[in-house]
Amino acid sequence: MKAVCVKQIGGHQMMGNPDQKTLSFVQHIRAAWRIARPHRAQIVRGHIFRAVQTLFLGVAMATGVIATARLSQGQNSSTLIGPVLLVMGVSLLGQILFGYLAVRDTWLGAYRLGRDLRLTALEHLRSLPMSFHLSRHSGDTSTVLTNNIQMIESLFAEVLPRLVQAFGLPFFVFVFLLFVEPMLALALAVPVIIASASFLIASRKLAWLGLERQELQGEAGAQMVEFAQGMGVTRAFGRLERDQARMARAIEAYRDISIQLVHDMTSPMSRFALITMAGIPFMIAVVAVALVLNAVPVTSAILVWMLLLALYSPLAGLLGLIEYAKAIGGAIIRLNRLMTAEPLPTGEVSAISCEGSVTFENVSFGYGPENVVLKDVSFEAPAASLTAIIGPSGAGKSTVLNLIARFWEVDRGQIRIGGQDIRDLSQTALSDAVSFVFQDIHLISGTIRDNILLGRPEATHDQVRDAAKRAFAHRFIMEKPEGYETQIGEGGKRLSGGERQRIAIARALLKNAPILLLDEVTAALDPLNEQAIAQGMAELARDRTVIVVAHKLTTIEAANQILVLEDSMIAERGIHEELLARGGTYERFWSRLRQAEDWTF
Amino acid sequence: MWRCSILATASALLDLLPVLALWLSIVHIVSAEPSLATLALYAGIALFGVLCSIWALSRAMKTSHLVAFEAVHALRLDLAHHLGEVPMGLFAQRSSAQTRSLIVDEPERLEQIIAHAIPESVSGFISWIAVTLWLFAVDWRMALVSVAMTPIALGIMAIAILRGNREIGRLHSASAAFNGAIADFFSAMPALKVFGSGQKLHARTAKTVGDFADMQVRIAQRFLLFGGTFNSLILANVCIILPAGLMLLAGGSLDIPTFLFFLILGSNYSQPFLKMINQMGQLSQVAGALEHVNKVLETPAQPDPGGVSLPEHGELVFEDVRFRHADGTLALDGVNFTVKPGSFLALVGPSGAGKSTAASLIPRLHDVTDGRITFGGTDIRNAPLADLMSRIGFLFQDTFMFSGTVADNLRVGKPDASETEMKDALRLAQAQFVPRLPKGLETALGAKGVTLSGGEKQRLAIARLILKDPDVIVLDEATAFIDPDNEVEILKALHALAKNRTVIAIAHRLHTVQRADCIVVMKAGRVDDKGTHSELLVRGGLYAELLRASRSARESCLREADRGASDDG
Repeated sequence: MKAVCVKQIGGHQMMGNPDQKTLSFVQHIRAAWRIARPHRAQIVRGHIFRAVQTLFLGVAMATGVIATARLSQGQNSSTLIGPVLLVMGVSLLGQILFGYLAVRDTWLGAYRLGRDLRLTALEHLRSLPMSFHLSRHSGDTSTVLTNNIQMIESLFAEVLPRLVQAFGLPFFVFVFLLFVEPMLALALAVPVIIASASFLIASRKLAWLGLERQELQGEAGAQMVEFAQGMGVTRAFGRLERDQARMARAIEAYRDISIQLVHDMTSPMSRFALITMAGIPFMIAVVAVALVLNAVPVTSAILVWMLLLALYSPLAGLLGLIEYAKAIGGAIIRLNRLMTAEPLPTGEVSAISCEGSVTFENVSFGYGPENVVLKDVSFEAPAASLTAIIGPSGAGKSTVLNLIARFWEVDRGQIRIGGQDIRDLSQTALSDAVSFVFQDIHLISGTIRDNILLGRPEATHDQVRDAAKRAFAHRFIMEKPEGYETQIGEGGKRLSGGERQRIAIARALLKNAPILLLDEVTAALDPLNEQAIAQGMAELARDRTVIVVAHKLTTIEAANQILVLEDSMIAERGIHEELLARGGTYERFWSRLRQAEDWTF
Repeated sequence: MWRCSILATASALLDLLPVLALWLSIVHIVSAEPSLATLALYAGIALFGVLCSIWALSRAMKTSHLVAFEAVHALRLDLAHHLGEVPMGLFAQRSSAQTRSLIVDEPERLEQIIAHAIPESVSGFISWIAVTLWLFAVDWRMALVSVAMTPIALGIMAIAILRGNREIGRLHSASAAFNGAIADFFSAMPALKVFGSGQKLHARTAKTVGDFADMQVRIAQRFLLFGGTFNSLILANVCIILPAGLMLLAGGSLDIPTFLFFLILGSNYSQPFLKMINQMGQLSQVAGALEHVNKVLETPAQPDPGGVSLPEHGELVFEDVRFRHADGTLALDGVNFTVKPGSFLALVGPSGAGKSTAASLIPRLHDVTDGRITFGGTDIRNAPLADLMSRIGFLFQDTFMFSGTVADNLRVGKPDASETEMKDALRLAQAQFVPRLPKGLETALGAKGVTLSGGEKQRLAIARLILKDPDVIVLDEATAFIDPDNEVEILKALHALAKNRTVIAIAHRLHTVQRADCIVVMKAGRVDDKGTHSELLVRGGLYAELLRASRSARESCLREADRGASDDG
């Protein structure tokens, strides 16, 4: 067993063993137990109520059994009515009362837990470095917060209570019989033990077989998806019949494997139900023998037989529930992975000197051990200068920008802003110093004004308008019926690419940070948009330290410093004229860029 | 399906045999001396019942799964067939996750519903009726007592549902708001990290979480607490069966065996009933589960009467073409232009002008709403789609490569292409990276092979089109931008593709198409002007304005202050 580290976040204890992909049933329960910490009391109480409700039901059944026993001994039924009515009344009331209390505590507890988990996760996620978010699809993170936590809620609200109920009655019956007729009670347990053992053995073997089958099925599924995705190409090149035949084969394969998988599953489940329910004829026989041998009184026989059903049939139906509970285990694992990710250690320095210089000193970085992107990179961008980074495609150029914004942490070396190591800066100080205009503009849903205000939330409306004007965005904003109050839709859907870019520029202008990181746009924009954006960018770059991943000739030409990144290192550096004269990588790169920009058909 | 239901019902009914055996055993020892032979008989009956019931159930399950998988199989084939018939443009921008949900996941849900819900609800219903009838046949008074709880419990459930209905609707919208807010929050993460102030958004998102949880709690309180009570009552039959039975016993109108019968069977009465209710609930979810599948299946097929055959060559003419999107917005409002064979026509204009829409109508990714497009005089809708596809090649932003070797993908363009032909096409398409791949032409692509960059895929797609050698090419110049480092290569490849063919190109950078035979300037769904570059320039107007803006953008510089020379005209 690998060592498991347990962290405490916001009162919830998380199991930090992210390497374990599958947990055993018991480990699931333990993980769920830890997660539930702050609401544990209420949830446990709810389950106890559920057990008590079952107990009351058990009492009613026991009364029936005892009444039968007395009747068989010849007692007059009318004398039983009074006490029975009393007990039944109590039992019914007890069941209703505790049923209500159980549902209240388990459901409400589960929902409150869900709410707490979500808020805690939200808070925690905010503190995580960008590297965490960039290394996953944002959709996955959303799913954890919505679907996965919902599954955890249903675990506590429905699944566990039903398990308690399904186990509860047989358990009480067993305990009761253990006191009354220990030998028979032990005999009762035999079929259950055999059934469970056979199921566990079978499911272990199946798990291994199942994996193989699932892989094949995964392949068939991938083929089906590919065919559907490639429909455009298939029809454009007149291959419809051929590809549809291939698709039909993939669909068939998928079906056949599914059938096999189900066959494999139903056999052990049937066997479990069979052995469990075979307990009934088994116990009829055992008790019969005991009776004939006069080892037990008739009343005990009646007792045991009447309670058999209450014991065996809930158990037979248990398996489906357990499988479902395991599926929820997956959700718990995913939540754990999120909550045990480490937030970025920040420093104490709360402000930097106004001098916005950026220095890289022997920086090395890789997204993974085999994926080294920067090797021993050093350069200095003095305050109020323009540094252009160019080079062949690969993550190196944008990575430089990402490292300055501390989206990722350098593996070796140091990055300094205004002389201060960025790791010593507080989160506020760093974000105050740096503005980033990304290629994929990230906007928040809300109004245009909300988005520009992101640059400086306390800005006045005049300041917002001023920034928009300088970004050449004011005009198109005012052309919209609601102007600055226009809703931009999810992710800015209602705006065109050019409009989104200009809002991002306005945002950065409003912020007025000393350092500007720019990933130059390569998307196709119409000429009018392109012009406005180019002018906006020029406005942005005045009097600031600009570090730009450049694609435009004019930008590169104007740079105070050009860094040519190749093979993860700075191959050449200098200004345009010098580098051109050298006739190396830069010169080649320059002529190709020139060719591309001047291209005509 | 019939066989399966019969088996499931048989199983449910056979399940009663062990209960019967227990009852007989108890009655036996209550009223007489225990006889091993009799009890052995009863044990045998119980065993027989258990064996047959489980056997029947497992056969029923296997059959139902078979039936269910066949149904899913048929559905998927239907889907695949239909995807080949609907206009291509409708499903162009699907992510592979959406496709996966459509083809793999949603049909699976159908399986789960059919395999379990149908046999279990049928058998549950029939066995419930059978048991009820049996109880009444034995003693109507006790039967009444046994079943009494059920309508009461159902009544309570119905009230609970009615009360909860309004709230459920509100819960759905709160849930949607909540899901949207979360997705939004995470997709804006990079901006929030840089601009530091995520406070307001975070607070807003946290509020939707709180609102949603509050809704859930409210509904739980109004609806589920009732449900909890229902749950108790359903199982508590014994609480009224016992006293009622005793009273009748005391009154002498009931004998002990019958009393025991009701005590045992009556207490378990609710189980099949509960199961049936659950399963019927599942069945009602069928419609919702197949939302996307249904949407696809309901989309009308693209009309392809194919009566007239399409000429080999000819002019491509847009005659007063109008196009309205599915949501009603008018994208093209009377577009007219002619493309002479062998000429190069460029579509330019501000974004939203309709250039891409117009281009997509040529290969019939969508069909015109009004007006017509003709090729060599024939309306392209009257000719077989296959004919059109062989005359026209198109290259838009999404390039798709099958998993398979590079050669396989090239052969999509020309099935009997020789190695020489493929190598020539690759050379023209500036795809010199192919020979450098581990296995050259035989290198596998995709998840299990090599992953190509966007620019590399584009060039393969161009090579594929070169092999196809169509008469007409429709292309989007923007495809070159995806890979700024290889832009020049892609442009060269596009040039090779366009040589000696009729070309219709969507252009974003005006200077690239200055030498076109005809430039069509579009604006707001209409043709603003058309002609050659010099003609348009002389006329002034939108083209001149766009050209000026384009030049200004190219020459504008990030650091105005540092520039020495002024821009050239």
